[in-house]
Amino acid sequence: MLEWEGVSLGYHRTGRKIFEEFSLTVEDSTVLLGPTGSGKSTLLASIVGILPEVNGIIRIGQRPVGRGGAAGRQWASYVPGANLLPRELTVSEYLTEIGRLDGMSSASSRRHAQAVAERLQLTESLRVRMRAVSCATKRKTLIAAAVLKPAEWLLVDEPTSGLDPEGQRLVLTLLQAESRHRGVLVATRQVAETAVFPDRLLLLHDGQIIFDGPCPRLAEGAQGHVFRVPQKAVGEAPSDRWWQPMPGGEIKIYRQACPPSAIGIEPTVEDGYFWALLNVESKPDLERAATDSPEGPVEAMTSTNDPPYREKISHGQ
Amino acid sequence: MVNNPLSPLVQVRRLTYQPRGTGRARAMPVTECSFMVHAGFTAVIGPNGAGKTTLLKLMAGLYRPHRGSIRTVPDHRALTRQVAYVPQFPGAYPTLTPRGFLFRLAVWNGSDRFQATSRIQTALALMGLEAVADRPGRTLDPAQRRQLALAAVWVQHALVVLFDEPTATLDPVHRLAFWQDLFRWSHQPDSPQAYLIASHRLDEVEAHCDRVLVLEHGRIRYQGTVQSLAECAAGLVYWSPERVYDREEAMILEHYWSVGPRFAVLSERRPVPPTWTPRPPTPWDGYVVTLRGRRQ
Repeated sequence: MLEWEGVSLGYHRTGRKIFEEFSLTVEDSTVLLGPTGSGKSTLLASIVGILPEVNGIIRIGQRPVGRGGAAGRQWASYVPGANLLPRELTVSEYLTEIGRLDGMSSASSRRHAQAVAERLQLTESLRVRMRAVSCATKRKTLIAAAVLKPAEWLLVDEPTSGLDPEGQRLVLTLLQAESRHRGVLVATRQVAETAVFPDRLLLLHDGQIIFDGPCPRLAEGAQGHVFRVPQKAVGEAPSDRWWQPMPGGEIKIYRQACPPSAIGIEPTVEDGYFWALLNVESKPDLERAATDSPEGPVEAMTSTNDPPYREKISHGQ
Repeated sequence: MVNNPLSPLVQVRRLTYQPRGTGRARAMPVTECSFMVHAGFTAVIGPNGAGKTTLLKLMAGLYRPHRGSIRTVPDHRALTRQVAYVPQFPGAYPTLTPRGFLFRLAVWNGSDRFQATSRIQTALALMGLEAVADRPGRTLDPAQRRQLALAAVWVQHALVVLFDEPTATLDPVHRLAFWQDLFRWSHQPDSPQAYLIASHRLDEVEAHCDRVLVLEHGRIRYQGTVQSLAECAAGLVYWSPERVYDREEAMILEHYWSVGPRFAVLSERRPVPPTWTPRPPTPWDGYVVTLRGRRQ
């Protein structure tokens, strides 16, 4: 179990607090989804004590991670977002050394390294020095090294950055398999990856959890708010940010109510993600508009004889 | 305006590039690639090191092909003058303002000065760069540099635009913004007609692209519409109520995504277990079948 209790986190350099009085409990394997800068990496890093300023209590399996995160580092295995690896070691040397440092015997560390390298199809580059390998191999090496450590929790920041589709599948399959005997917390900005652990998804936005539940429920949240506008009716592109082009010149829009000449469609998880962000980001505008004129925003959001879909969704932007 | 997506614009014939030497900077080889570029959005996908970047750079004229030709259809002219290339991380000249940069680019590409000025104004407005139009290039942040690269493409009057992994480092909202820009832009008069986009995200290919080129080991493995790529896996894809961990059969795949309690399976196993039910194939399935079919 991972627990954050009344945690405030921030960086010295900017002085900006990313999390204020943040509380969260994660029992089982979970995906942490959020846009760039929402605090996903910070949350992961807070367990292993990389961040200087922490107020509040962070626990890993009932034990506080302590100052500097010593306990966190002992009980969790962490894959950072950046591929920082010793340039002069070969992939195999690196993996074996990591095993040795975690207390394995030299033979067993070599055996384990070999096994995990095979699962990630790294065997061809085992003898290559890190300075000469591609960023995809580096990513896989880092993940392999983290998996080698028999820690209670596996914390992975952006598991598939720089990987090709086959590599993405290998890594995500490995993480799924790992989740059978330990907790895995994946931080990602790719909506497609939420399906690794579809049972729990946390959506993070600006240091706040804005959605917590199983992955399909995020899609359900957008039910009745996603519409397809046929090519003939498209005309000019909408002026707000909440639409996307579809193949064949059609567009998909996110609205409170169905605009004329649009057709409702079944939302995907990604649509659910956009709908959730739209609601959070347009809330301040709505509140401001509500104080200006009581009916204004409500009308804009719900009326059926809608303004044309290309108009902004809320007033006051 | 993106016109009929069926009409081919560019024909690439037996394109080959075999760089000599070794080392990190060596480009991946491309062998005997023949394909048509159609109007609309075409995704270029393939494993790491398949030669996607080399192919785009060959088409952009940054590398000189060892064999083969790239010709426009139907007038059989060389493509080099009508193509624009946007790298993954576009740069900006540190001391040149975006407006100055675009102006020089337009004039070098043969526009007359008055036309260039108005076209640049439109491009800056379209890409939301008006606020920084007269600041030196070194002050632009990466997002603005990307917008500038897009504006530059538009100013060049290109027929074909090549993007090398434009969205790899972006989160979904920024990725959406990129596709919105492309859409808006492709609806402007006198805009490029074909867009070649290298990508690793098959969900994105499915959501936005019309056609797809699959590249592996420098060779074209598949070309066609996204829909027909998916259909390569027809008859092999199922929903399974439980997870399938079968490492012995090469064609069994545990997909990493699932909907509710179902797991997507791609399998050649016969007979099919009675609990499995057929499902519609996705481009991902088609991609896997295309690449694995060759390997065996």
